[in-house]
Amino acid sequence: MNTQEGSPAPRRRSRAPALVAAIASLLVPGLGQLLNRQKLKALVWLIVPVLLVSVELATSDWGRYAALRSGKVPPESFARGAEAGFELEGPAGGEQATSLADLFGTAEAGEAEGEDPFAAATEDDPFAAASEDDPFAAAEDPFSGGVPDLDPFAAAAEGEDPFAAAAGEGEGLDSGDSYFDATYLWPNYGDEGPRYVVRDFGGFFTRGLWGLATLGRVVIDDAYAGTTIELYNRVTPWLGADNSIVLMGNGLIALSILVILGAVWAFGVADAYRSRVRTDETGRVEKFGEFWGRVWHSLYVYLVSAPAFVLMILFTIIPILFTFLMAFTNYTYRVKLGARLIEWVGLDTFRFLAVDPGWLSVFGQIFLWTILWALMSSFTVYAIGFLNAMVVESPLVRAKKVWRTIMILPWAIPSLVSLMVFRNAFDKDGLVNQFLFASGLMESVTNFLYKIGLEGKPDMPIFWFQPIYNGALARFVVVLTNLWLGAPYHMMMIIGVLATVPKELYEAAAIDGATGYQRFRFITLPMVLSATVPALIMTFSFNFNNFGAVYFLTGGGPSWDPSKVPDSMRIVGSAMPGQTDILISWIYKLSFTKDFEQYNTAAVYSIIIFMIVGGFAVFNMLRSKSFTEEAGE
Amino acid sequence: MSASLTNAVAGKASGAARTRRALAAGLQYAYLTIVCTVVLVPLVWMVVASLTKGKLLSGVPLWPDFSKFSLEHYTYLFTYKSTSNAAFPDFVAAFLRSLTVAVVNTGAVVLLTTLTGYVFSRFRFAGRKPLLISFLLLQMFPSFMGMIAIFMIFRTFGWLNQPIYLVFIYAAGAVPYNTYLVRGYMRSIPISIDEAATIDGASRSKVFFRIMLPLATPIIGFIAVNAFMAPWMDYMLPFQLLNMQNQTVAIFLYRLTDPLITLYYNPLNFMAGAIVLAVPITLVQIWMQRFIVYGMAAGAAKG
Repeated sequence: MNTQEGSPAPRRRSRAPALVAAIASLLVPGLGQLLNRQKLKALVWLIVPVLLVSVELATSDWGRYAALRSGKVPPESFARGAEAGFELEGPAGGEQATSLADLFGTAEAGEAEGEDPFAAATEDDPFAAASEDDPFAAAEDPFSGGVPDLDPFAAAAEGEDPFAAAAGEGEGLDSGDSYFDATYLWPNYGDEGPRYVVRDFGGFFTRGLWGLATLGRVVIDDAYAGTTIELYNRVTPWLGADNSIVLMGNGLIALSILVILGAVWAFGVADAYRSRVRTDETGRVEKFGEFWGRVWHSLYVYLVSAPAFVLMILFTIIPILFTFLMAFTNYTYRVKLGARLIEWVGLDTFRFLAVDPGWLSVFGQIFLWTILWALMSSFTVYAIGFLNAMVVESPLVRAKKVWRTIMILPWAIPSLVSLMVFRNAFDKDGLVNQFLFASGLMESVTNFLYKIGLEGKPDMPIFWFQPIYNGALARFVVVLTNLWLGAPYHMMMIIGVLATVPKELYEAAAIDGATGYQRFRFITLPMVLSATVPALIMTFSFNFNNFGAVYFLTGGGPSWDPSKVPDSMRIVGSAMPGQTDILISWIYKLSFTKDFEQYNTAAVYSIIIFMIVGGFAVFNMLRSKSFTEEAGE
Repeated sequence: MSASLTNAVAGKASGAARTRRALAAGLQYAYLTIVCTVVLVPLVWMVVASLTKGKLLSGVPLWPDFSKFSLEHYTYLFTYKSTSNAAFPDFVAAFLRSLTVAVVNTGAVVLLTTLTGYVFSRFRFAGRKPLLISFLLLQMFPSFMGMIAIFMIFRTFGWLNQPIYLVFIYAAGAVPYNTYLVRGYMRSIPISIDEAATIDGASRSKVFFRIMLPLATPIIGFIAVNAFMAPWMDYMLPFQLLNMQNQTVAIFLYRLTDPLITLYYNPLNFMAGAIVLAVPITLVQIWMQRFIVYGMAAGAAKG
């Protein structure tokens, strides 16, 4: 978040005032602009700390912490023993009241009721000052005059939680014995025992960062701060057990927002420095309008693409970071959130997966099948697509448009729909079995399959995706179905490329007396191949991760022979991959099979897949024409 | 096959050549017939199944059988309401939800990616290329686990069970590659055109909306079709982020084929629903074929 703007070498004139402005902006966004006598501009950057502090305060209990530190809390409202406090069952999962909608609603409510008590409550808080660079941190202590009642905190609670506010207003804080009125319970930090001040009182940002670093500290039934932790407590948030996943997620969101705000802040520091230098040189202060015009001009690209980038940070970067972090935790189905904490375990999962022979062999087999699948499916769709294109574009074929329209149908139909239709077609009573029965081929087909060791019983409907001895057959069917789905795309692509092959080449070849085969081999094939290699590589990457083709057709089935499942793999239960499962669909099973989730393993495998597919993409990009063209730009 | 094909093209009009040519043509028509049969049989079966009585695949005749003919599955789709006070039948509501998401997504993606593509093609700024490439790469990260994070973001913002917010995710996913395509296209538009407009006093936004957008129609058509198609086929995101009252049509259809959900399981209802869904989408795809072939070629050339 710091920038290097503060240390330029002085040139002609003293840069001291500019440096002062930059440092002032570094301490408090906008302050440097104020020193430069640019009030409107200062306001713009002041939004950063105001936003930070108000979001933080509105979602925090720092007010209560200040009261706790100043000794204003009546002794009887401290947590004492497990029976204290009134438990309110909330939604499962012990969720924090940190919905951003609430959060901004809270900020407004706080303003409407007057910010002053709110701000005053935190002014002497060393923590707030340290973590948010509160500009007013050095202000006088409002409590030195002795504030007798705790009204500010009731107000603070009101926006956040109507429940607590009602309790606070109606009863005051010292009537904790009434059964129906839930009252805030103060943590009783003893001399020994841990105290997690940020956890108990922190707001969106401080608590988020704390949670990201620690993944939580206390869970249900732990003795903490003089009482016992519950699963969830609406009135007294710190009584609720830590949910590591919520903490990690909120931490990532908070971190991302902080990074964005930090970038704006850094820009402010740079601007303070630069505009001071300019003022010193020209002797006049830049007007806000000029500044805005300049910013609009120079930042046009960033401003225009900002929405796209915000979306990508939210829905691409954060999920990736989340998955990435998950690989370094011990999160599996055995961690019941709220009752156990997720822990950072470093590279333990990687090490386990690299060492354990059972996992290694299963991963190896799935990986090999994935590679084989990607190769076969890419090759078949490309080859048949090529053939289709050659035939349909042949000068001997009439009514090309009709043929072509029929042949691209599988591409035009949503693939999810066709895959599910095929799943039904390969059902026990589906189209394929019915056709085999009706045409009298069933017996010879099952006999043939029986002979090569696939289908168990002759003269029965074929169970394509179920019996464990049918793995090879199921794999074959998956490739065939993918061919039906994928060939038209390649046909269309190759028809497009064929049109770009110069006719003169063929004419010249005909004059030289080349045979048809030679013309195909030495003109058509090389031209089409070189034009479609990038697309071929992309097809390979796509099929490597072609989740739908496997999951919606076979669901990964048939399952493995139970006697061949390594013992160390038995913990995954029904998340065990089937014989047609490729890596990506196995990751899906590892992530979402109810009661058998192996999040950390799934995350490790996600990283592995990413490295493979990403490697292909980089290779593809490096060799692609457009990249090298631009490299010299 | 290809050899005989090209042979035939070159063949001179001698008698032997004419025979060979006729043979080649015959072979090619035979091949086309086989391919088209393979393509059409599952589709015809789907239509027949959707018009067959009952709920068993085994009852579906191989050859259209009018004694089993029934429209009951279509009636089910267009009348069945799980709650009696619902405004629309379940299927229709799910279809409309998907349609809304698809339309909004089309608008959002086109606006976002043409703007970013414009910026990336016309302006030089720090980190332009690394930014684009890193986003393209990052998208290859398998995102199933990230679903948990997306779920939490949705919960944080209160967007759960509201299909329209799925657009954010689809749009975020579409931006990098489409930006790449649009940028490639706009680079081929001579920069002198916007320079002339700028001299005439047009602002950059005006240049974008009045000049670049109209000139980029082919690539925009491609992006728009893709953006319109994406939500219909997506299963994972609605499955995780929407409850059953707010399902999209893909989830509705999937539920009809899941034997574990006995209340809804009926593969023949599914066939009918699949046809109702597939016919308009297929027509749109074929209608927009020109743009798609163009965009595919552009994408293939760019790698």
